Amino acid sequence: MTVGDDAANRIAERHKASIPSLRAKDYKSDVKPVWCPGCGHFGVLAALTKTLAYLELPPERVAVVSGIGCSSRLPAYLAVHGFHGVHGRVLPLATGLKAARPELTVIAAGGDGDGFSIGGNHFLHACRRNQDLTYIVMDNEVYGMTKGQASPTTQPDWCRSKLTPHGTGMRRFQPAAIALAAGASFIARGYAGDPNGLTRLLAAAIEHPGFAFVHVLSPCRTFRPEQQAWKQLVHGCELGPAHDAAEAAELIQRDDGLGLGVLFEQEIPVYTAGVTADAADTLTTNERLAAIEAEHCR
Amino acid sequence: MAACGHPVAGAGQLAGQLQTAAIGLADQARGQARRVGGPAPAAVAPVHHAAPAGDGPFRRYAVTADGISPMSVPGETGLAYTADGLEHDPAGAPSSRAADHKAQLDKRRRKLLTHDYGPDWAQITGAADAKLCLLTFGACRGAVVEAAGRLSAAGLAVRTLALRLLAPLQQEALLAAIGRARVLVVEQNHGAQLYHYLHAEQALPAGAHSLAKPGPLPLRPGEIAAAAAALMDSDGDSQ
Ligand SMILES: Cc1ncc(C[n+]2csc(CCOP(=O)(O)OP(=O)(O)O)c2C)c(N)n1
Ligand code: SF4
Ligand SMILES: [Mg+2]
Repeated sequence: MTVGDDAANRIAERHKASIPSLRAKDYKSDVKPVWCPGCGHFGVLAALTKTLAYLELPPERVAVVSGIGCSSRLPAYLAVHGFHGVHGRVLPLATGLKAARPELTVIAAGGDGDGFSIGGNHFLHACRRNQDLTYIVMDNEVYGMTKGQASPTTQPDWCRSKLTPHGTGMRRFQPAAIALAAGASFIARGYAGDPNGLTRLLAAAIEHPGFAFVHVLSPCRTFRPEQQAWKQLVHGCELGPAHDAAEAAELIQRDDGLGLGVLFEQEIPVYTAGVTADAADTLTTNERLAAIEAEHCR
Repeated sequence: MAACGHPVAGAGQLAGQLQTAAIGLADQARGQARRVGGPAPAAVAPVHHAAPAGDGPFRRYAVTADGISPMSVPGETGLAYTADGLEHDPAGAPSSRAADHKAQLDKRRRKLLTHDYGPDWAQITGAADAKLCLLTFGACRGAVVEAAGRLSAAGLAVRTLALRLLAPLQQEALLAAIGRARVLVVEQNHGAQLYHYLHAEQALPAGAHSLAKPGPLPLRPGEIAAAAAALMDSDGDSQ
């Protein structure tokens, strides 16, 4: 597992300095997950609770919002503030919440169907807005909750659904490449079967100032049993993280889509809304735009 | 414009008191217009329900007599909960139990039905013993009030009633306000939706008539006055 040097250093420093007061289980609610045994989403839940404990975030200062899908059931299993929203609308929810309550740690979570299909448009604009949010997409390349239909990340020749008996015949949506093109300032890929590595990525994502997208390979045991092979196929992405959009584009395109780690990380001005935030921001609008152009749009 | 401000302020206030969302819709012409008006009605502070402390999970959706459950906001220690679009138990955990569904549905209905909406449910003009009641809602009110003025000047006492609260319908208050008057329901849509809705709710006296016309051309006071006069003429002196 490769986590960006900067992120790893930050995490190590923090680790030395802190004695955790809350443990991962303190962030779990009493609600028992309805997920199928062996579902990858369990790994994401475990990694997220570890991350919150590790960062020592007070539960009442954290809000996890989601859309609809097996993955979007996540908030109910956490003992932090949660909002289980509408299919595809997790990012509007998170955007509004963060704008109204900038002091909260806002984490958006959902599936590949939720985020890349019906919510695809919100994904593009959340990336380019660069609000200080963390967005976790649990990608199992299928609509799990509705019993196994092709999603935007499904292989074009996957023909196990009756709706697409000959496959979709369409090229796959490339989450990391699209996030980069849309302007995300932090892009990482994790694997649900590696909760420790995922914890490091989630911690780095939450600490990143700006929009942090964490693409998690999270196998669907029931409708994509072949994804169990991911355990053998995932690998650290040695080349990352890139801090330059052009380098990141090359890294992402050269990778086989199973490379784990921080792929791209860049500090650019964070979008804030409201009077307090504007007062704290010393840049003029033109300066802010120029900084973004210079940093990102080569 | 002034007629828009009042319901927008009222809706925000109601949403705070009833823990619901408020959606404001305005037509494009009004949305782009500007007018300096009187202040919106002063907001009453939302009902604050002190959040009970306890060992178990916070019961955000506790079943209460007035249907309003305790609510916390992020930042209050020990009171975190997940707001779920799925039906849930009192603590917010998704539930498929019939008893939980019924308890939560009953609670929400109780909340909406028992709330005191005050006098703002409708705007009423004209005497209680008027012979004719022009019943309308929304943007037609201006033309209706103008039509009523013309009819009154011609010697026909008219009452106008513009509903602000469509649901829960204040049926008793509506029937009392109509009294013994004949009713003409005036609305700008093709299907006479208000007229049919009020009939379905048994909130109209027998013999109520409908004047419904789709946009884009607005209903004009002259059309309304003519329809009202025709209705009263057709009744002769029997009413
Ligand atoms: C507006 C709307 N459209 C469609 C659905 C049906 N639906 C529920 S979950 C889902 C897809 C879930 O897939 P994904 O987001 O990948 O989550 P997973 O279950 O795979 O974790 C769909 C299409 C819905 N609930 N709402
Ligand atoms: S259907 Fe797939 S995604 Fe949904 S809970 Fe089962 S294994 Fe997980
Ligand atoms: Mg999925």
